[in-house]
Amino acid sequence: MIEIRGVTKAFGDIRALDGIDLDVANGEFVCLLGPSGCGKSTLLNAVAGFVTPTSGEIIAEGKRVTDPAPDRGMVFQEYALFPWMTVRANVAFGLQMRGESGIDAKVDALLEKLRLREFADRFPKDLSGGMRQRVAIARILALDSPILLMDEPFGALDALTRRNLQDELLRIWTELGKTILFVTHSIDESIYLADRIVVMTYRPGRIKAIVPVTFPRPRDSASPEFNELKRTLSAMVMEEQRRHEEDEIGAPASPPAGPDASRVR
Amino acid sequence: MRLIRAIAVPITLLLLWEGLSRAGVFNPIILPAPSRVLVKWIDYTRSGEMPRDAVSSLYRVMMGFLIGTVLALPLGLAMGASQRAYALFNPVLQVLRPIPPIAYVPLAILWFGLGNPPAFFLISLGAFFPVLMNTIAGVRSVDAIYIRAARNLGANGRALFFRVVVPAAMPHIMTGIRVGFGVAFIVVIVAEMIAVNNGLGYRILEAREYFWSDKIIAGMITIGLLGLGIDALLARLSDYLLRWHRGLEPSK
Repeated sequence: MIEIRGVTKAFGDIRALDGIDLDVANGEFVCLLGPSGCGKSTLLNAVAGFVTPTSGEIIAEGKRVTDPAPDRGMVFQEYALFPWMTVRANVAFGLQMRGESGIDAKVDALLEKLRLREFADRFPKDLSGGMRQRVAIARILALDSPILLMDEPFGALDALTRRNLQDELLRIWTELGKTILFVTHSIDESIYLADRIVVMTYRPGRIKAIVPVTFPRPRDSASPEFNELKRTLSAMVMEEQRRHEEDEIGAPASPPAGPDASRVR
Repeated sequence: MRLIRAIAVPITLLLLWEGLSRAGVFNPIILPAPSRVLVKWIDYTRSGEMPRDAVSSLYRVMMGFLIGTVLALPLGLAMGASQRAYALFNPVLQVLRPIPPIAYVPLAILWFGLGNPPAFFLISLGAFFPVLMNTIAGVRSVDAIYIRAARNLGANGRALFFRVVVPAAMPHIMTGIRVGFGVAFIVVIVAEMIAVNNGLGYRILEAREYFWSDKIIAGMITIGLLGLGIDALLARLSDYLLRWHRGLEPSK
């Protein structure tokens, strides 16, 4: 369970997040959807503990978030695998940090689950993007954290690999009952995956709408209800996208990175 | 074909040099023919003098390099990781860094007398700065995403530093080690010209006393071959240690 209570985050004059209230129930799959600059990554980073809110608080599994911790496993868009470690060592890392025993068996089971077995001794540089993201997911699953935070994890992948990994993620989610907070700017992806879609506004980052996706999985992206929802969400997201573009054209000299910058510690 | 292309220029130059020498264009004391240098080199090797000199020089390089690196690595890691350590040590290091090790020769003799100690001192000084500067740069350029991922996975303090920061900085550190070794190799020759009575540098200087130009050149060639061999070994070590590194082409 994640409870977000009145979270505001300001970077200088920019209010990346403005009074966000959101509860994510145990075992729920929630997507944060919006154009760049809407603060969705900032919100995710705040839940992860990489970003400290200016005001408000975040409670994860009953504990107030102050730092990054393994109970909220994060999957990054850039994979963030340790390139000097083999696949096996990457997956084992979190368990070693926790000083667990029987690491090898756990790692083997995870590699099996994500069909990474034969890549166990490869280095990340020798893997495709899809494979790398599987490793990143295995690395987080090793922690057995109740909450998974995913920052556009499939954004850099081609469409087919992406669909594959989305299915794999849904399979894992169903099997393990994780609570997932998933950032994306793809409307299709959010409808395909989420129980609820949280649409965010462009600067200041607020919740524009919370849209439940009620039809059952696996969802057919060609079905009428999928497309109807897609139209509704599209209208909302495009409105924010236009504000984003006008802002950029209106103030071309402003630094592009700002609140959505991925390099916040 | 590739071999022919690679050796065409050196062979031509050698033949030209040999021809000009035989025609009496150069005084053999100024520039002896390559054939004479080769004969001398074989003599120098077979007498056992060259291997002994090479071993002495290598020993000095190793000792000096080890001392320099053992001092530079922890300091570089500390200065790269901590702003405070950097602010504390950087000013004095910036002042010392541009002073070439050779400028320390007189002091080295005053402080350490003759024999190996001043040589170790000078060589370690030569290796110290390249290793230090590259280590600092390496630690500072560690991508923040690795730190975030590691903290998310529960790493803190020592584990974060030694299992994430240090390996991530390794490509830079290896560059520093290779450059440092190169400098150490330059400095050993100079150091041997002042304070010892064996080693390749000493032998070159000794040969000059007797106008043995062929022996000077034979010694120089030995230095070149030794340097090449060591760098090739270091390149292989580096390829092995950095086999995970993206975009690293194996050294030729």
